[in-house]
Amino acid sequence: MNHLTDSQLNEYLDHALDETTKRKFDSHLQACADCATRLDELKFLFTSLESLPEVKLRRDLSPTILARLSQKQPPLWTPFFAAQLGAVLGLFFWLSVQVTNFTTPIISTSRFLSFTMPNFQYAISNFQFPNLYSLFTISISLFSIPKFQLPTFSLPAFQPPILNLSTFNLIFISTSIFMLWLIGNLSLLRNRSGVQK
Amino acid sequence: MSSTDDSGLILLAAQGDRDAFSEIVRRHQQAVFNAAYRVLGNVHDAEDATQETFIRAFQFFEKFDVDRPLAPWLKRIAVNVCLNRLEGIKPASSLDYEAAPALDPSPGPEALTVNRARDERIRDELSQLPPRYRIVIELRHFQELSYEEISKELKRPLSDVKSDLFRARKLLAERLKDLT
Repeated sequence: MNHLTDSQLNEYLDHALDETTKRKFDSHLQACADCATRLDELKFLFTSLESLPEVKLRRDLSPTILARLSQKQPPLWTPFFAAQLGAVLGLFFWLSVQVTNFTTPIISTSRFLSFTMPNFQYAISNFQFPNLYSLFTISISLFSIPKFQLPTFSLPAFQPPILNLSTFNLIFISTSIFMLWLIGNLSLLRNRSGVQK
Repeated sequence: MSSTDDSGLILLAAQGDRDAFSEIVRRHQQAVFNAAYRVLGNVHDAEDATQETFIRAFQFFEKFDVDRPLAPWLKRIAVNVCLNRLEGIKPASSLDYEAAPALDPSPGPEALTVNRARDERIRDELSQLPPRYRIVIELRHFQELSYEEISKELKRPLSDVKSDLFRARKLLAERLKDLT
């Protein structure tokens, strides 16, 4: 048998050989002084590395790590969060427009749902930039509800009467759910930004 | 807290428990630091890599399987942190072990001093190896990964891993010949 190659000696010491090959190499190493010497040199390296003691840390790193962790903020403005925020703002906008005094019923759909939409044409035609009076009038109208007509959300007759929710209630409940969802997500994101006691 | 096992601490730390996370760091910082020190060959860089390792680990605690041992996982992260650093820095010309005497200031008997000098020599020679050699030495000899596991960890072909490991050993053995 030829001398063992460096790779074969390495694999021998790494226990990476199958049993048959290992036995063949064992026999060769007993007979070949040259290969046995090379194996011993490699063994010495293995022992040297394995007996290398651990170096002691100069200080406890935990306070520094905790401080660094607190500074590390994850990106708050994630696309998902932005979509949620957009949905909530959109809902608020729609609700605020519903309660203005320039709403006109223009849409009446199925038997389940009928509601009013803002008459933007009216608002825009009465707005002359930079007519501050018009702006003021529109702003005031946003917060006044003299002509507001709450549409109703009519459920099928077989439903219990308690479920006959008005659209206002429906919007109020939906908005509350959205707000809770948003606040919950914000709270989770804030907690994720660092370890909290 | 100190009597809680690692899995309990991980669960608490994943929920944001500061004390649990501190305890994890205190328990494993020595092992993580040593892995980083063997690869980077520099105390300050190794300390910094240790900190980064725990910060990274914290971000993945929620996904970590608590039935697995924590120490090997942390040391694996440490090697990855070191790999990223080595891509950006030159290999250390020499260990700064001497520049940090506070590491182990206690004087010992003569035999101990001789051993320490020998250990420093081995560390020094290790730090002189090219970074890719140091990485495979660390993963094979200190983290006891198989060739296949190293190949998977480093995303390198098995043949490259073997080649690097065998060359690293050959180089190191030649440099340490006078110690035999």
